[in-house]
Amino acid sequence: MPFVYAFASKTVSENYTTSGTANTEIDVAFVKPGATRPCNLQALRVQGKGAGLTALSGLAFRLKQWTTTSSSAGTALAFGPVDNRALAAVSTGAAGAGGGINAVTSGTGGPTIVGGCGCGASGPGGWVAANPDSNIVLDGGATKSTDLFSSSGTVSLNFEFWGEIVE
Amino acid sequence: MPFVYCFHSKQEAENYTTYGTPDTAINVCQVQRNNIRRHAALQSVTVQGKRNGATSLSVLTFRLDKWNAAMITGTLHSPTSADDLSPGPDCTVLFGSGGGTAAVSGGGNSTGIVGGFGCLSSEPGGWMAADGDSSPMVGGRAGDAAGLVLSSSSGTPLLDYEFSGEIIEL
Repeated sequence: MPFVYAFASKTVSENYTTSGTANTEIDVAFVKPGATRPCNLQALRVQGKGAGLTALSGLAFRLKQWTTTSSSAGTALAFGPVDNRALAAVSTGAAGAGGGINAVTSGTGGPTIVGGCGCGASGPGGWVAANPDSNIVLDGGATKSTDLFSSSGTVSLNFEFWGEIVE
Repeated sequence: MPFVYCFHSKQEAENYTTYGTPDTAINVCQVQRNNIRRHAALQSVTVQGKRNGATSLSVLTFRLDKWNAAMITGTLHSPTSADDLSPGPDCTVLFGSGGGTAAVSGGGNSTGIVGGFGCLSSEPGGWMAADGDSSPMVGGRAGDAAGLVLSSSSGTPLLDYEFSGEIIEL
């Protein structure tokens, strides 16, 4: 029986923001495995938080893995078990400190793109693994991380995100 | 346990763009097999309209075609495994070189449309196979497509988008 944990950007900051330069990525957040269990990303949900907008714009999100060293810094994300009988998570992760356009410190190696999704500037979006084999997996003890990158053609669009990992 | 691999338009370019003539399809990318070690199938495609600052609504349409002879013109990229313990993929993906309105070309012909979906010009969209039996197969057996081709079209010309997909090999 796997353990499922949820994380949310709100635990760090109310809003994250795409770059002030159009079509420029920000390494917003990462998750990485602990020593004893794998870290499998199974879902990501995003919400554009543009308020009172009078024009339509889109946000793109990419999931990438750093394959030599994991990302670091930022402010730690809280991983809450969806089943309150579960063990504490051994995976860890962080998002840019203070929200906004702040980023984590990117890892090294690659990165390799392992997924993507998007949303409207005021709409929802996300990705869910089609089946357990499609989870984005990092083995226990791997010095790697799965990172969330944001990008938009219109600058400085607010958003928040949620995710689920399986150990 | 099947192996799952992801491809993403960002591997080739920041943006792809629908054609400059309304309601004219562009063959954007092709999923193809390069050897016969494993069966392969497409299990999902995700798209995101990237129009910015628009003041009216427009839509992008995407179609999946079976192709009887793989296209050869474009830029090849290898999809990335979702599980870092997986072996390398058997499939590769041919993208229109440089993004924008660049297309893949040089192969045979469509032998039938196997899927379709769409998105608004600034919104997400996509398709996911209902189950393992619903994933269109790529190559390897009699009757399989040599390639699966993703095409884009829109009534409003020159709409930007990006896309990603998942290939399952077993």
